[in-house]
Amino acid sequence: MKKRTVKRLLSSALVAIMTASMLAGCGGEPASTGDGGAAESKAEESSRAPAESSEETPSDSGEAEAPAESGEEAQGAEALLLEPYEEPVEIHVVLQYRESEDPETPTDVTPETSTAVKLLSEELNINLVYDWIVNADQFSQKFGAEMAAGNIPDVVMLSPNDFEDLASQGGLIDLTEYYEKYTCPDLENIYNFDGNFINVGKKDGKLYGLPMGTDPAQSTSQMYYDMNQLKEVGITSADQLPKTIEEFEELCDTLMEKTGGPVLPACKNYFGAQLGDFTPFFHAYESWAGGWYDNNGTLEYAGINEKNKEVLSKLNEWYEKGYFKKDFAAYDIWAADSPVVNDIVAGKYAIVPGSWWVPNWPLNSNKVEHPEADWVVGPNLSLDGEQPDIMISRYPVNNFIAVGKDCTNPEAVFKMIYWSLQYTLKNSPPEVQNAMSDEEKTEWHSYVYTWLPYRIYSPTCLRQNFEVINQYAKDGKTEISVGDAPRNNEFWGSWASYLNYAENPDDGVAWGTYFSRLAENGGVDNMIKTVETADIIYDEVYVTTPSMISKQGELDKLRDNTYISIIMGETPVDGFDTFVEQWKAQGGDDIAREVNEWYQNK
Amino acid sequence: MKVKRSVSFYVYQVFNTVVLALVALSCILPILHVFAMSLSSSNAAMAGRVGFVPVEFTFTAYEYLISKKDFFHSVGISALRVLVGTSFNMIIIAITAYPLSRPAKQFRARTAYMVYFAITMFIGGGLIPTYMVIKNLHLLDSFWVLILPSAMSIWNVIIMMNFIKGLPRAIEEAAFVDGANHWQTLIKVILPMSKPSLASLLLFSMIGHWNAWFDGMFYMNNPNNYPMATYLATQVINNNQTMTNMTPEQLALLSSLSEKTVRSAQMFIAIVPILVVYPFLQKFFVKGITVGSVKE
Amino acid sequence: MAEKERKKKKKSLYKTRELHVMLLPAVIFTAVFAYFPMFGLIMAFQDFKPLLGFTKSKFVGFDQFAYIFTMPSFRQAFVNTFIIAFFKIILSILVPLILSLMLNEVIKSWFKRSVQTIVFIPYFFSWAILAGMLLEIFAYDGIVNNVLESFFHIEPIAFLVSNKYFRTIIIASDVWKGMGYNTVLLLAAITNVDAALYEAARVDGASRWKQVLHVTLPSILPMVAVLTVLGLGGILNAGFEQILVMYNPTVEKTVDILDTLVYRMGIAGHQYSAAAAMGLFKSAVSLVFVGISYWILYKKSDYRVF
Repeated sequence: MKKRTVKRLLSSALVAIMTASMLAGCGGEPASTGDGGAAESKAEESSRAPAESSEETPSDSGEAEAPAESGEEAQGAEALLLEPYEEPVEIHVVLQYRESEDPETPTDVTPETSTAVKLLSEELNINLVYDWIVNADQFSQKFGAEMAAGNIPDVVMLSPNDFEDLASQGGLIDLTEYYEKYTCPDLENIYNFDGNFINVGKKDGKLYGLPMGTDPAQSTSQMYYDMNQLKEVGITSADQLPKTIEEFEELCDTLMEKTGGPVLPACKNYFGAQLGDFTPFFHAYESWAGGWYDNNGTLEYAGINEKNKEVLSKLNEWYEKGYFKKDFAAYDIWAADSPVVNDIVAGKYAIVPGSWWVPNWPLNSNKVEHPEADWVVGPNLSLDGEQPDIMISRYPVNNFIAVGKDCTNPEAVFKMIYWSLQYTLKNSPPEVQNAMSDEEKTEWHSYVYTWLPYRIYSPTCLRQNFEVINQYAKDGKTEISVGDAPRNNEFWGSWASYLNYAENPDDGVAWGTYFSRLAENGGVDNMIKTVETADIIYDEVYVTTPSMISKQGELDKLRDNTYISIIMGETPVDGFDTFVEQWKAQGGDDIAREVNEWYQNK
Repeated sequence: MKVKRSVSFYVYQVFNTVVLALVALSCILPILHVFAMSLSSSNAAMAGRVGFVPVEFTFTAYEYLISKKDFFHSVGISALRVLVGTSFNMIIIAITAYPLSRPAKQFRARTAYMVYFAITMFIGGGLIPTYMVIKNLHLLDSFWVLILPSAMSIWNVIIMMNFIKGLPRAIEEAAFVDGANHWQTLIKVILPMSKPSLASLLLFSMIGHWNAWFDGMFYMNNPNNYPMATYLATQVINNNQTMTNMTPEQLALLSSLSEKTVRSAQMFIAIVPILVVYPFLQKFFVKGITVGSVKE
Repeated sequence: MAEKERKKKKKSLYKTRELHVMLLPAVIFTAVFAYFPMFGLIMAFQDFKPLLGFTKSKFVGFDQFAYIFTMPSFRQAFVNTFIIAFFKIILSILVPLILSLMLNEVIKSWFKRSVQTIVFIPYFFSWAILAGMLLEIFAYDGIVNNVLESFFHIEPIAFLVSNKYFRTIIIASDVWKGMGYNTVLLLAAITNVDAALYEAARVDGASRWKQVLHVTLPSILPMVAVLTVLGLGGILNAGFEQILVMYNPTVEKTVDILDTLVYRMGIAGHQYSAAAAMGLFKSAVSLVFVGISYWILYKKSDYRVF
């Protein structure tokens, strides 16, 4: 509960802005997914952050009627989902605690007294019991110990590794029949958005978990430039922004001369961190630190590709020139008080690589402090000025929602997710928000989605909202009815941010949410354009094999240490070959064999 | 007696004094630094302008801490832990060290006991099995998990045992001759003579409990039950403050309140009790640890 | 008759029932919190699956050991453990030895006492707190680099990610933290040196330096030897808590030790069996070292720890 008070303090002075509370998740949350060592820059994880981040609604838009009303007269599965238990049912959960991202969550609210716990009990007769609560960064340790002691919570959000491990030991309940009974479009949008995604949670035809994913496009990375700062080195229009690595290097050299450097943010999460990392440079060389791509029917691991030497030696060259802080590898971009983030906010960098949400945070903070800052998205870098091939995950699975073997009411998980969805949808529209009494507001702000063992994020919502809202904008609409809204619960937040930006174009925060999600040539727009224009190579592997469970961790560490060591010039670039040998010998070959076996039999 | 002192002697003395003063300084400066940080403005702290004197003096960090109940709650848990845990430790040290200090001739089972205890110094079951045991004892998330597993420390017992062995035998023999039993001998004769050792062990035990953080983190099921050291450790090691969208007001507030100064204030509060207790027990120290840990 | 009476009384010395009673609590605590968990070592010989438990998990003999020996990170951690522990043991005696010799030369007793008191202070701070301070001091823009730059015109050094320096920082900070303890110990030994020996040396015209060399050092040598050998017993304990709170992945190559590796694998990586095997291996090696060192002590100086 420690840090909540900081925000309390911060928020006390705050005028309530709906956007802030609703979208808070999107910018801030990635910060917490980087916990500890767990989120070492794995490419596979790269898409995780925004997924968890958004407290959203089910998607799949247009046609369906407004969910709020649909409850009462719902048919079939919907009716079942809303049916309360006759006798109270206890559902044991565990919590990797993070503070509420909503600054208006009352101080005295704890997970046990939050709105979800209260209403689940009142409306569905489900009593949520927190067996233990631990700060997010200690979760994996605590879970490891509890798992060793044979305790599995009733409903739990699992990493792919833990999911595989527990499922193979018979620790999870087969959800197949419940899934069939309780399936409905709203829920499908979350864990089966394309009609295939649910299969990721199946093993031998049995469904052991509901996959939580993101739009595969979210693993793209882009270049943000502050035109205001670049003015001083002679760049006055976006056309002059570098397209090739060579041009980019020239720009950096010029900046180096002017400022003395460093000119690029960098951190130990060198790849896939989504902010201040080297991902766009890897991409420029069509190189990837991880991922399994299909090479004539055989899966190969991108992290050991000979080609990576090129980008590593280039990065080493840049390191020697002083583009990055000399001890960049000591800093975690996701740590609190991260100096990297502080520097970005302070305006020390005119160039910031990052994901679509970067304007939402931390560039928005930068703009608040330096209103003159003028951030734009530049062209994706490449060697020849053309859009390079990109690699994206076939199915970016971040987590699985699973049900522990001792759970007496496995269907409760569906009821809970559905309830959260309905609750959020019902209360999100601006009219509803505006009409809330103080008491209802308190209740709304005491609903803290990070305290629940599941998420209700629809992977397609970003693109959908971008398209829908821009359409409405073109039509000049400033008011829409509930029926006109797509049914994903990020929608109302995005809509509000659109209105908010139209009203306060000079406000840094309003700019951040707008520019990241909705602006033409903004974060999401560029993300969509990138995946639509580029040739795509898929990272085919979305399962966890037995060798991955035991060896992936050490292998990733080996790779990260080697890469960083090469970038820092401690290891000559030829050390890469040694690394490849080691990687293969230490279990990489085993994993390759297993994923290929799986791939052939898929 | 007067000894002739040469110039080189004085040079040496000065050199000696300077080096020792520097070494001593190296032990004080970090504390001063933390203290200065805790009283500086966050701007100065973030910019790294704080050395050993507060810059832009302010009490903000302490005011903030006082407003924040959970830190003091954890301090309370730590205080209770020190009190109860140290009592357990001291009692067990006394009643265990005494029998083990008896010569094997008198107490034949002594060797067997010693082996039984000593093995645990070198072989452990590891964290996970220990966790299972504690779980099965239903000690998880209980205050007692901070006390009981560490109640018996064989190292401390050995220090005490060696101290007792070094005491003159004649006095205790006299006590026996007067008809005292073992309990009486321990309480009336041995313990009063062992004050230096007891004082040192008391200090070590108190500080051990005050500083221990790993068990709190591992065995508690709710951050509300963390003792102070765990609370601090989870903040110092990995702090995952999420920065959300901030309004100008928020940013203004945040900039007046840096994590750095708050953390420094917490550290300083954690250090103070040690600095207060230490001088009182320090005078027993030399004798206590010298005789106990290494026999002459 | 008085003789007989005394003998009878003395017999009570041999009554041991009370002694057993006194030991009972310690025996119970040790059984519960030290011996019970040892059953968990079975894991090291199994492919332990938590949900199958100890009884149903597959027994794999020494496979886990074979597996860990092939792990480069294990070999690396093993070597690091030795190196770090070795330097810590040597320096944590050498530094206090020098300090205590210097302190002994100090004439003003208040100064002597103050220094002695002050150098003991860091001993009491938890690593959780010290790590925070140290990481800040040695940061790229920290105090140390500031000083190096402004006084010695040395380019700032990235200490925290440097495989060249970080190990030294780990060792030095540990020695610094613990130096007070052995200083007090050794100073006490020095003060106890028979004054007559110095007197005799002085009569022979020995300089102060010669006195230190020929009187002080030889007199405290046994103690130094004891401390060293005792330290050797802990050669595989290179400082878990310290390294856990201070290290980062970049410097793992040089400071990852067995304990941190076991922690990462077992607790965070959920590889219970491999971690248990590592732990057991470490115990076995330590036991050999302890056995040898204690035996040497016993043979050479008749010193018994137990």
